[in-house]
Amino acid sequence: MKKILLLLALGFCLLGIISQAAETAQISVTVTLESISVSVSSPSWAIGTVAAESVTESSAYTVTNNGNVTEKISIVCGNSADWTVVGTISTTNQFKMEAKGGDLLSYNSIDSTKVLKASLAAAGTVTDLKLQFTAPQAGSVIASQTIPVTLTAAKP
Amino acid sequence: MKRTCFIFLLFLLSLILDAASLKVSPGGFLVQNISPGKTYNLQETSRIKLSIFNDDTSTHTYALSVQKPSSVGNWEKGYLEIPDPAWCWFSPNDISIGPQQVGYGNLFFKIPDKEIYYNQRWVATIGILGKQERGIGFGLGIYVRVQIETEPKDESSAPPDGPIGIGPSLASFDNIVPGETYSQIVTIFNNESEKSSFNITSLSKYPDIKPSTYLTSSYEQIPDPTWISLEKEKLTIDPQASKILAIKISIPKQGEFSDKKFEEILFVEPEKGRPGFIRVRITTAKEVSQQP
Repeated sequence: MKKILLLLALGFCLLGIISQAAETAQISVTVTLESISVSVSSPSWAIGTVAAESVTESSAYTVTNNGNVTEKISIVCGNSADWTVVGTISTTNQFKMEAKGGDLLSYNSIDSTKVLKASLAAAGTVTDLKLQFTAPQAGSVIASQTIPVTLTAAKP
Repeated sequence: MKRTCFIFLLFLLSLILDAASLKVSPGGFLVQNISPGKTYNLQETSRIKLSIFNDDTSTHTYALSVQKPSSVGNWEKGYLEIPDPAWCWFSPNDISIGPQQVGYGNLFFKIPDKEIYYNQRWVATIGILGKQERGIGFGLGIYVRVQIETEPKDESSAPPDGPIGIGPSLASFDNIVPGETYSQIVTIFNNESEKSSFNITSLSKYPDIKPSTYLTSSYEQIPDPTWISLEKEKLTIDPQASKILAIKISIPKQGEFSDKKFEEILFVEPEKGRPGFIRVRITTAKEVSQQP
């Protein structure tokens, strides 16, 4: 009896697996002989110790389209563990990150996604990307923070 | 003593000293003939792999996601945004790739089993985004668009979903003989609440659009768009109503056009809003050799 129950249980398990399996029905997939690629030179900026509300500017970075199609390059900054990225600092534990270079002719806050280069040809570069960081107000968390700045590439 | 008004913050945007480079291939793809209600695994059903190349000298983890294209930019003319990006997903949805290694995204599709989801054209955007790791400042990400076309269906109990419904979305002329004329009908539905006019224009009239974006693998664009003639190039349709469009094909009787596979895209452009399109697919018969 136990064996029968075991076999039945196994059968139900198999049925479950089969019902979850993907179809192999006829779909047609057409791929483009394209690759999208992006790279950034020296992707490090160790700012070190800075004063509250101070403004620090990075050196220039080069962003390269290593793909074989024209790309749109965007940039956005995220929050750190203790601080929030904002366009205008109004209270503690907020910081500002701006970027310029490419199509950004002056510093723009990157608390939301900004287009760094609307159309960057294959092998093209943006050689003048700079970041500008405004530190939080006095009274903010005083600890080392890691802040993510994301560069994304997509077909325009 | 005057209280100092400064705090000192050790801020590290990044500690990584390696080069940061990411590549994804293919840079876009077209998936056709998806039947609502069925689950598809891209790699299993087509052997196509979404390859992610970590060109760095350290291991990275990438988050794989599917989004509506409007959240990150534009998308291809004639397609709508996928109504729900959860209809496409990765399993697993993140992947760790070693230095100078390639990883593969395992993409699945399942469109709800509803009659209105036949004859659909949607775009979904796949995001491959470097996850924040210790000390990383610049994360790299790539967005790839997927054009999704559901199974074409001639007769349906409900108009296809979307502001413009087209049924069938594919006008297929199979094994036709050059020198003869063939005809098919397609129904255009105005699913909006206002009367609208729709211009029917061929892809050939848009020199700025790359035909390869639309063409099915192994098909070439029709060499001469005048081989396709329409009963009307403009249709005016009442709200919640439909009209029939007759499409005629006539290929010159020349041997070079035998045993060929052609496609053309006919955009259905409303006065307001995004267009849809009819895919016209033609295969020509093999030439019969004349006996002496």
